[in-house]
Amino acid sequence: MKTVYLIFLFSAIFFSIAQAQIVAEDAKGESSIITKNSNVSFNLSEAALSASWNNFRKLAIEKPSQVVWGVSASGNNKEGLSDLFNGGKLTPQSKLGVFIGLRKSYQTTVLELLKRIKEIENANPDKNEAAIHAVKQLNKQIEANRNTRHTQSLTTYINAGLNADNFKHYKAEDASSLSKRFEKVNFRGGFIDLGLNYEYAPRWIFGISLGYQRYNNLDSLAYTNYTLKNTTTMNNAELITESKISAYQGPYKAYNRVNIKTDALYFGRISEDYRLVWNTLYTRVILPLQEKEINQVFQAGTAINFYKSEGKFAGGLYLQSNDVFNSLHSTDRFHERISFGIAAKYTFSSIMSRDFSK
Amino acid sequence: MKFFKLSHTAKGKTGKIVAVTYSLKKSASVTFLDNGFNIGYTTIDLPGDQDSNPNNFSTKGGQKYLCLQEDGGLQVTLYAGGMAGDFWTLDIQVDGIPLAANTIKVYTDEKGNLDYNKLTK
Repeated sequence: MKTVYLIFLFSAIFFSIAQAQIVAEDAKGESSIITKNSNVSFNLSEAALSASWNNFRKLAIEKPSQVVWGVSASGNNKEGLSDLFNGGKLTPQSKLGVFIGLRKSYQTTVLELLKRIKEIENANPDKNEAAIHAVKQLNKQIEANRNTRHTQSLTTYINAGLNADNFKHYKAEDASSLSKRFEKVNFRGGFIDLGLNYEYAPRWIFGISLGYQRYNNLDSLAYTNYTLKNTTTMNNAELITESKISAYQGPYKAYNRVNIKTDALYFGRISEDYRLVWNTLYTRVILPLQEKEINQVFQAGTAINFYKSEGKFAGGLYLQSNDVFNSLHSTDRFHERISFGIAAKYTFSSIMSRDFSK
Repeated sequence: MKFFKLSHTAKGKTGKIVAVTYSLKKSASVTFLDNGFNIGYTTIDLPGDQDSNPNNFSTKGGQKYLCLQEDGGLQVTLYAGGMAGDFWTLDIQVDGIPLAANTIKVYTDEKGNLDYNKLTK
């Protein structure tokens, strides 16, 4: 538990000096698009913290194809920040993932011409006129090529990992005493995603991923505070002890599901100093397998984020329907199934300088 | 340190060989094309010059590039891609003296390119 407090304290200390990066996640901090910076994010609405380290540093230099890889970790308190700061019982959730991908550039002709220029320059260190003329001709070919097409790239990736929930579950049945009705549940799940990102500069990045996951229905259980009183009587005197217990109640299920995620990021320049990244429409389709008691859910949302061009601040808003077609029958009113919040994200690289490419 | 064996006939023929240092900075989504940065017909080793901040590149310590300076200036060529609002900035020093054109700043165009190919003084 102390670890969770330390993580939050740590993030608060670096709040003002950390640098920002592109934000593209939904309300749960998930996305089908992998971004280019190492980062740590702090979602104020869901008290989520995540960090990732990767070799995206190498993507600063574009090659015909490049392998990208990294690890990511996230943790959050199920009941949000208010419970954390009020000294309530935490329900820690965590996720650890690794990914590996292949990024393919559509600039192969230009990259070949640039390689030829380098060969000519290296072979002619005296900068003779013939060499310079040849380089100028090649540069003309490069300019002609680049004037006719947009910068594009395609990234294919596999993302896999483990997730864990630790919480108390209230079970009214089959318990020999009241205290034994609170069962400690240590859920361990796993996931694997196969994803595609298509970048069509300067405006769009599209992402789609298909995933298989071992998950549970913790989100649908009711978080309840209990008071357990024990009374001991001796010689006409009563001793009453009282303990507070926070637990989830309701039918608990662990199950397998398929996740489909799509994102469509739009990039815009507001002014010389400010730009925006708008996840115009993201969707999350959740399909439970072999489990009739768990409903299929379709989520959709939009998220807009602003940041300074040099990345010193990023923040934004998201608006999400957690159940577009009311599959969970929670309420017939569409607007009541919508959530919104703020998100802020800060890069970790400048603080930690941890990078697996080194 | 970059070493070049210079031809005696090269000097003064189309210009002169000068020692160049530089500092290049980019916003997060910019990607420079491999071998896509040239100053005075010398390819700049961007992977070798990348700072701990992955968005910054520069010559380090006494390192310098020997480049051809023509009468019209240094031929600077840089090819890059990026998203709307992305940019890079470049400062060049010739024999330790900053160019008058400093700081060169290029934004993403409508094709997603941030290209620069000019004689620069």
